[in-house]
Amino acid sequence: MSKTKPINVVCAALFVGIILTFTFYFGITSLTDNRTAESDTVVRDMTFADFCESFYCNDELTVLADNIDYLFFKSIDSKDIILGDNNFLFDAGEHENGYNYLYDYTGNATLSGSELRAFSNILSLRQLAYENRGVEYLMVVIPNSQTVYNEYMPSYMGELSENTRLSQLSFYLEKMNYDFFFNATDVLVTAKEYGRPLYNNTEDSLNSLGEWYLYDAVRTKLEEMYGITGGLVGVSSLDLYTRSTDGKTLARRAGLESIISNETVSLSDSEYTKYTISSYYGTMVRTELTEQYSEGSDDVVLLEFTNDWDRILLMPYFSNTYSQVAYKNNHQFSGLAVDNLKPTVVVQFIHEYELYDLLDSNTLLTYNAGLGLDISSEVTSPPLLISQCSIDDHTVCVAGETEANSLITVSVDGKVVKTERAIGELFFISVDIGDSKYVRVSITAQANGKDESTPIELLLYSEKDAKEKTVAVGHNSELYSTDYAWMSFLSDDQMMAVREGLEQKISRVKQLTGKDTEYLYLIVPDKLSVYSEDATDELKEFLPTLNKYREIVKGVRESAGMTVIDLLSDMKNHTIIERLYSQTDMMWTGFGAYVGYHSLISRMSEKFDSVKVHELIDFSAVTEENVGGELVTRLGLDGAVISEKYLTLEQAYEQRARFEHSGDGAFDITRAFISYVDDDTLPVAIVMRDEYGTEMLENMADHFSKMIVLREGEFTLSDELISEIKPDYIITIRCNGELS
Amino acid sequence: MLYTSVAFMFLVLPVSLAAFYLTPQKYRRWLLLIISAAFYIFANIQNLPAIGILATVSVLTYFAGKLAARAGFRYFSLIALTVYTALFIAFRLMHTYVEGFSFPLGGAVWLLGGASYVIDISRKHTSPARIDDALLYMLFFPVMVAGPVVKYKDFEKYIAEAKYSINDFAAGVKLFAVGLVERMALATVLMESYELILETSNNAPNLAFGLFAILSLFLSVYFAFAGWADMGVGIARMFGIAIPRDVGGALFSYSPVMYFERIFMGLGAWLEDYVITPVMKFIRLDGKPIAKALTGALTIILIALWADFSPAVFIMASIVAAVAFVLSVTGADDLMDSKRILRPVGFFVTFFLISGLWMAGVSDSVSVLFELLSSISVVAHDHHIYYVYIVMSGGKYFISTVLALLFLPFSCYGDVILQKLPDKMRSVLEAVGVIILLALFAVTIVYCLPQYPEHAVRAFEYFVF
Repeated sequence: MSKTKPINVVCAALFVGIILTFTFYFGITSLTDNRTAESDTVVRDMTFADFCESFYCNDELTVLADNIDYLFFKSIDSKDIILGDNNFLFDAGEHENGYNYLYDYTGNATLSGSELRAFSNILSLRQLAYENRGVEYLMVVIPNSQTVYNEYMPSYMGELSENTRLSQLSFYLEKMNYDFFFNATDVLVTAKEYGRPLYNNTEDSLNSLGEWYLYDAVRTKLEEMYGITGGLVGVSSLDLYTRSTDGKTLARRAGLESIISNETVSLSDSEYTKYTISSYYGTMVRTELTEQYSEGSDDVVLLEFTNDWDRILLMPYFSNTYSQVAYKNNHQFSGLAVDNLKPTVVVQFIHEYELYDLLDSNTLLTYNAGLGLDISSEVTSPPLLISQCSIDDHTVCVAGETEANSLITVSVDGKVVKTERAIGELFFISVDIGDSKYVRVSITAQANGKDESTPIELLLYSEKDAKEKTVAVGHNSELYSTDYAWMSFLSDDQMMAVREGLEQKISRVKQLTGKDTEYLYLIVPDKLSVYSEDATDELKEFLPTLNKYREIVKGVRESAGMTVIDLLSDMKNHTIIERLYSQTDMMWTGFGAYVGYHSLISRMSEKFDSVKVHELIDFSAVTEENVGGELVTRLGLDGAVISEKYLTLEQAYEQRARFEHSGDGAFDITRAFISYVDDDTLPVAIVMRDEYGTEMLENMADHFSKMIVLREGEFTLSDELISEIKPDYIITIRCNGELS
Repeated sequence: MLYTSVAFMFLVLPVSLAAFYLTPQKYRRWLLLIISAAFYIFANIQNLPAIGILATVSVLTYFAGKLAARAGFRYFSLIALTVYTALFIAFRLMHTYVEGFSFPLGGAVWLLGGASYVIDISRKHTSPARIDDALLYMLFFPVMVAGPVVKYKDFEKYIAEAKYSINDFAAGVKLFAVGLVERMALATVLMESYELILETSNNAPNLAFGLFAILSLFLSVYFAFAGWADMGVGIARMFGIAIPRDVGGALFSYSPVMYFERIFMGLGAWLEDYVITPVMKFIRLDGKPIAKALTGALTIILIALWADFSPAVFIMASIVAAVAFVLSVTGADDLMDSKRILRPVGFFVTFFLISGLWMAGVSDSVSVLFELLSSISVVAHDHHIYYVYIVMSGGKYFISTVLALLFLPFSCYGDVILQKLPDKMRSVLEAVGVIILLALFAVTIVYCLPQYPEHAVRAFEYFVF
């Protein structure tokens, strides 16, 4: 037998040690990591599969492998990310809009002559749409990080091409004297020389310092071009500090966020702000310099972004500079916002990688509409197309503006496929394009007593993977919700339980108040029930179910002793007078709410002589223009882009009631409040309301000596409250009613 | 359950070794048989017909051996060879064309082993074994996944000379560690490099990347085969049974025949002994000059088909065999043997031919090498090349290639070199080598294994045994 070598003993021992270390480590991991939902401490039986899983799905090992790749080999496990010098990561992938960073950088994605012309036409259109409303315009392009920091690109990528799309476009537009197009590359390249970082090294985005240079350049440009002045927020006055954070987007994509830190320059949170912030038309934000700082210029600046990150970083600079600044998170034209805000200038920011988005047809349509209708006395103005969107795999909805109540006709190859009427100036029309990806249609409009307009050509396209929208485009431009998931029918036993519960409640209320307190249940009908004649066939088939539901609600409540007021017939009787429901929402208009108010108070006046209903003559009618409602949002359109005009009623009588709100927000749905009228002959009421009740409250308040308004579902009707105020009425206002 | 799976390395192997060394020596052979049977059952647990086939073939082989010893029938070898080859072909065809049927893990090796057992007995080279020895030969798991193919008459000797010492165990450990590093750290990373270059360049890399891709594949396939075989031999050695290594310096070959003689030595010997020599005798070419050329060509085709039974590989192997045949009959082989200066030419010819063969196996297409060569230009104009730069930037693949080239002489000729050194230097280098090897082994486990879990599922990413 040969002599045992010490090195072989060491070798065997080390091998056994390595194997057993892993055996125990992964064995224990597989036993302890697979915890059940019921308890964190339950240990389950181990199987081979668990054991293997604890190894192959081990995050620590995966991170370790990424660390080794990066630290030892300087390799990144992604072909879409370039690891540059100075720990810079550059995007080399393809953007959603088809933009390829790498091809553009190397000059392999140049714009053709026709594309350059298309860009210039679109920019002209944008500028013209604003100019027509007396607003100046500036388009600012934020360059990619590799455009500014191209010296950090690895040598194999070569020099930055002179034929990138941005440089091509800048050169072309400069030749055409488009001075409202501003490429910020030179500004940032110059600023880079000061030594501090302007971009995040792990994301294609500017940091606070980079955004400041952008702000400074835009501010100077606005002053030079349009004479718009504002107090400069000097960089030396800012509390900017350099810090390291976990790697951002690109580092995360490479799985290296914990390894490659992001070196950035941030603005201190404690930075002094001289402005107030408020929301504006839903998604927009508006800031105003406080009085002590707002001397001098009263210019209003509207800034439009495609990236919220830029807005957040630029806000402290611009808002501290101009008396009023509004921030919008898209480039779609909103005549409503422009008319109301009356900006001096609109500045649109776009990134170099988003240039192709300028050609987006939906955005383009909004500018087209922004040019306004060309009204003549004999021929109808061509319709202004605002947007198109897919409702499902084969149906496209076209939205647009036209002359009042025009007849809109859609034709394909000269054959009429659809004819619908607009509601006021706004039309929505659905077109079935079948399995085709694209269909070219021509659309004409014909107003009453005028000749048909010249046709507008439009290429309809379907988004094959678009999520099905819970909205239906009915006939004659009517929009309906198709979301009836809330509707649930109860079994007989459950109904019995509900009825018994209500009976007990009513009896208890009478006991607590010591009088014949009446429970009034006001059912506001669904828009579909009132405007059923224009509904789609599917919705018409569904209508009996909806009506049945309302009838059941009515039956249960009435049998329990409640007084139920179903507004359906009243509403139907008033449809010919004025719009009762918003075209772009499920909500009723001010006029619709008046009908509800009238029915409710009329019923009460039968019992209380002192209750006198305000008739229509007590109101003045006013046309209001509002942002598009929820149905428009569900279609994927910006509510600020599609505005709707409808009639609303303003009190011409003197309001007797005074209100006590719980904080700001007037009749906002989340608020509880009390109203008082100094007349003891009037009844006392507690009102439980949903959103539909809000519009009625101001008018209702005049008919109660005391009215406590609570939101249904948020507040409960306590015994203490009932016994304290002893209401004559407990009124519930609900759309479609509620069974449970 | 392959050797590279964590279930094998961290559960089956330590438990089996512990049980083996805690068992008295006289029972260890029985225990090894039980472990081997258990290994096969677990390895094929999701392919129950395979377990049935294995059990049936093993038992029938035992009885066929007894019959062969009694019959003395001249053509028994031929019948045995035909039956086992037919089974091999049938299983491979069923694997390809019958839905739900999977080729039994290790099937190729134990079918050849079964044939060897019966033929050796019928040739009177050995006598029928006891049932435990016969079954252990058929089921001996360390050699069953990917070789080496061991002839029964040799296995008898190995098992009789089994040694259970620390030195033997350590020798097994070293081979196992070498095999794991070859298979997981080198073969997988190099194969990934090959795939990335082709995929990201849209099959049109520039000259440098094109050649690098071919080199990566060439090295990868070698290290894949060498890795499995070394792990198998290493495990056998840990259990006290010393089987010769199956791979030699195949990458230094300057003729295709030499490459195949060195990469599957056990299989080459098996084919020569049981197939080619009898065929040569049968067609009365034995001893004639052309026999050598024909033997080489046949060896190439049969080994290539054993590795990957596909039309693309068959066609490409035929081309390689034809070239080898021409080199042999023209005396070019002999000329390179005698004149070292000509060997680089032979090396490059072999490099491209063998690379083409394995590329056909990987892509299941004959033309892939030719397409790649025709699309390569000195400077690629297609901008896809930038993506190649991105994925190949950093040192991962280049360092792996350099490591592979450095590892090669150590793996192939380490023992020979060490033996020629003075005792003290040998001891020091041996110690350093062991530490480096085990460090690489540990790094391979934590770095490579989690990244390439598919190699714990399939014996080869592309080649099925």
